[in-house]
Amino acid sequence: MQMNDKEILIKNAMQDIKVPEDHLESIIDDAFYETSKPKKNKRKKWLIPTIAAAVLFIGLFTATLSASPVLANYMAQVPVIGNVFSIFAEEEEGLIQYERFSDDVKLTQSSNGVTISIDKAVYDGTNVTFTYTVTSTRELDDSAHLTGFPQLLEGEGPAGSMDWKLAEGSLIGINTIPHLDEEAAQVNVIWEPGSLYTDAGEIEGDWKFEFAVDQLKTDPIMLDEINSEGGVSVHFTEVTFTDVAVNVAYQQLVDPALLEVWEAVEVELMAADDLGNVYLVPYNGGTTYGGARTREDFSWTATMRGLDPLATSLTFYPFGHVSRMVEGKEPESIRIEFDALEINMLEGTYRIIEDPEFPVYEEEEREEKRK
Amino acid sequence: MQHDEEIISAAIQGDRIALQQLLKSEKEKLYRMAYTYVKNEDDALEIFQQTVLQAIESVHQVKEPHYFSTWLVRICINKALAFLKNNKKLVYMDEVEDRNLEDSATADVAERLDVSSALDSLPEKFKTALMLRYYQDFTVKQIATVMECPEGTVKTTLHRGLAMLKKDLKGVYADERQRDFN
Repeated sequence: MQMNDKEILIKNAMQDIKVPEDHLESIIDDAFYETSKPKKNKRKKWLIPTIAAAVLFIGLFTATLSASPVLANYMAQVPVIGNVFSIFAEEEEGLIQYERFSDDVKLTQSSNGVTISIDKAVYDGTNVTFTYTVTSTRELDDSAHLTGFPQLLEGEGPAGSMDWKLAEGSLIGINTIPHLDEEAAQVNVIWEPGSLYTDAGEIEGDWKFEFAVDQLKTDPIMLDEINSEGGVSVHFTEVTFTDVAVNVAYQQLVDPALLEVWEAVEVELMAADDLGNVYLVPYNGGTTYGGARTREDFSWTATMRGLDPLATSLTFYPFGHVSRMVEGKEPESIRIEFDALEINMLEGTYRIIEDPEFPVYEEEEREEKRK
Repeated sequence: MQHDEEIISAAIQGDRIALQQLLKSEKEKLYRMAYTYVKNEDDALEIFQQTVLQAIESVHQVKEPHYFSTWLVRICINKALAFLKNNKKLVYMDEVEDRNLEDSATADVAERLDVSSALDSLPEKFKTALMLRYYQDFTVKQIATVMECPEGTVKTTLHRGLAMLKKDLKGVYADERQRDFN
């Protein structure tokens, strides 16, 4: 086909559309930031960061942000496809406990042929976790998921993670919202899903859930231990052993001089018990706090599941990455390993282990071998 | 859009830096495509964002590096069409074709249309085909992949699209010619 005036005109007309370059760049950067958590399996998971990218989400999900009067929830007959926690537990360790200790919520709403049911919920002083089931008159495929992030009446905007999959033609999911407050006997979840998204089309509807979740009995061990290494300090503040999970709260404190050279700091944890089991301790989210000296000072909470019931002590191994982006290259990063913190679960005491040998999580080990 | 096959392969295999680089080099084209459907910056940005997120989520599904470009554009078009549909801004094709016929029956009406609005007034599939061919510089084969139709249909669509555009562009066209000759 010959290029003639008409075709050049099309090209020119397109070129005339003004492009907000910087905005596009930041959308791409934010998207990579938000999706930067490693995925354990093929299930879809969104991590909603409470930190920098929150602004972006405000634009996207405005509908869920305002608390409005409670709509009448009503009960309805919905197909029961088994306990959602146990379905997810087949792939993810430590979820079985959630099934045992969570309360039934049983709220169901239908709109435009889509029925959403909140099944169970539990609050352990650090995270609210609840499960749901979605059935639709339209056939659902792998692309199906609900939009609109749940949040807490007591919280400050949306935060947490959403995890979902298709099971027996229904969409099932687990939502987690971090909220550290052992004093709260109860927290209130508000969720207005907005729509059921599928690649074949989005079904909008009027679902709105508000429900309270009681806190499990928790008994936090207050910690005050600071481990420093290479300009970064980890300050452990508390650890809680609940019926469903182990929650740990810590701060990362960064020497301002370090940030003259580096851009980002992220301190994470691993754990091992006295029986030799190694656990991942993924963080739920971090917030900056009053008195922070640098933009990289954060308070984190992290949650570990599936602790061996026979274990009597648990050791947290903090490690961090200090990184910076280099134009046109892979980002540079340095790993820092800190002294470990051993918790004696029987006595509720703790001690520092200097220069510990870092445990290796099985999955990592397998990957190493593959290489 | 030609890219180093190595970078694309790396992106497909999970190299996020590679994908980020590819998306950044395609950002203008994707944004302009999106803009053509919705005609305003806010909505175009939203479609752009959805496209980026979807690309990150499903890049591993791209089977061969040479499908990358068509795959990415297809996401963008699908997101744009879904957006229009959800916002009930989609004008049905028959409606537009009828309107076009009416328009062309009225003499001079085309004169006040510029290229971009002429392009806008085309039914979606003609617009998409023309944009892919003359803005993205896709081959007929690539367009067939994106639009999920036979190559013959693409050729016909392009041909008809150009013809429809010609009607709309009569006025502008004449000016351009004159300029060329002056």
